[in-house]
Amino acid sequence: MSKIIIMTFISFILEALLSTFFPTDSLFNCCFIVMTFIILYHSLNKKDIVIQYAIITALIYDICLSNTWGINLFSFLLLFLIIKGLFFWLSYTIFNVLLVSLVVIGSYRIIVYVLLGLIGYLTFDGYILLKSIYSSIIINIIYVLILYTIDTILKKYKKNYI
Amino acid sequence: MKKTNKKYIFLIALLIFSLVLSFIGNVVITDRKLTPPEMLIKDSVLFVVKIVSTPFNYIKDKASEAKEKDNIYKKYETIKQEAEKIEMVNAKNRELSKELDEMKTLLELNNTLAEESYLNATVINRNIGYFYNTLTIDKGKNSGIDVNMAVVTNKGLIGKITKVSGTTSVVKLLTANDSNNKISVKITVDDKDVYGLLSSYDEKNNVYLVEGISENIEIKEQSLVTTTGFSQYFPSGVYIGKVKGVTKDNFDLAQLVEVKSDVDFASINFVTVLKREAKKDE
Repeated sequence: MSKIIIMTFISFILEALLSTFFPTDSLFNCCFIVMTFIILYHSLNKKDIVIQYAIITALIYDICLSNTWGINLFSFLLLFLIIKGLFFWLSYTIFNVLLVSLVVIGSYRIIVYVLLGLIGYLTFDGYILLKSIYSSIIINIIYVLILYTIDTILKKYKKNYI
Repeated sequence: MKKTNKKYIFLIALLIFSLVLSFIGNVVITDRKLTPPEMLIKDSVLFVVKIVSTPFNYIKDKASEAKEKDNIYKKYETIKQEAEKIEMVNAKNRELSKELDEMKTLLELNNTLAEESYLNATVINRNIGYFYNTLTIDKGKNSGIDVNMAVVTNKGLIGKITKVSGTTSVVKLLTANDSNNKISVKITVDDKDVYGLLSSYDEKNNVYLVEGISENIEIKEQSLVTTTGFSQYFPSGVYIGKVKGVTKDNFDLAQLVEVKSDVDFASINFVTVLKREAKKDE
């Protein structure tokens, strides 16, 4: 449980912090909370904890950072299904984690964009969607690699670690 | 039987999806007020974020200070030249405000749309979630900020306050393509004002689009664009940008003016909130 809280807290703080460090039109747009989700999904045995985690994190994220209500709640639950589906076929190796990360970054941006488009918050523009996806890849892949490495090391040295 | 079940499941899923969409739409599009629990969560979490980010911001500021030191002599020369002019501008300002006061007394005007006070704030987080075009600043209701106040930087108008909690506020940027976000603006061409509506933002070319300008008015490039003060929220005379080009609308009936802002929306760190003074003598 402490692992969930620590990882989420660090991701949350880093996401808020880095948003003021990098310009928004740079190639470093973070979605660290979603990346944490990939690592936590696999290292937790009870998958219902991950759903609870998704709901609580999404609510806090919606209220505190994105200033909306429901968009991330809906998209995090969909992402949970996507991650579940992908890890049903793929094993937990570094290559597969990277692959899942790429799919999740793309799906996350598409889900949020489609939802905002459907409610009339923004007008559909493929260029903006594409830009949002490719500008999020580098930093999130680096972050997921760091998380994966820490997770693997901790698993190796700590037997009862969650 | 199975086919009928699938139909029902599909219909129920569609219904749930529509309900979720209408709920999200209602929450996101309408500028609703934050509830007390939301304010509490938001303030506590962002307080922690602010504390953690303080040392990092300090290092960042020091790094940019060191970078700026390289150009310090050049800047000094520019500022020296500006300072020489400032006395003249101040004298003219004093004269103009005196004239304005006299005119107001003459016309018995107690409140104009140009009256406001300033409050500086720091950006805590910027455009998280990529598509929202919002900023969160470190001043809120406790500092006297309220919804719909205009927000500027030293390079012009950037947006308005949409949500306020005790210690933080959310600024919706002008770059958000929101149909409810149209602003009445004036373009100054040869000492005459041409009025229009700032309707959207073209992200590819980084320009605002001003519509509603008649075809027979010639709009020159580099003309100043400011707010009119006609709207309920924005005071008059707030600088927005300069005219970059003019095109025709889809029906060839009116002109579509492209306005280039000097603001770098991708890296805003400090902002000023224009607090409207509701001065009423009676």
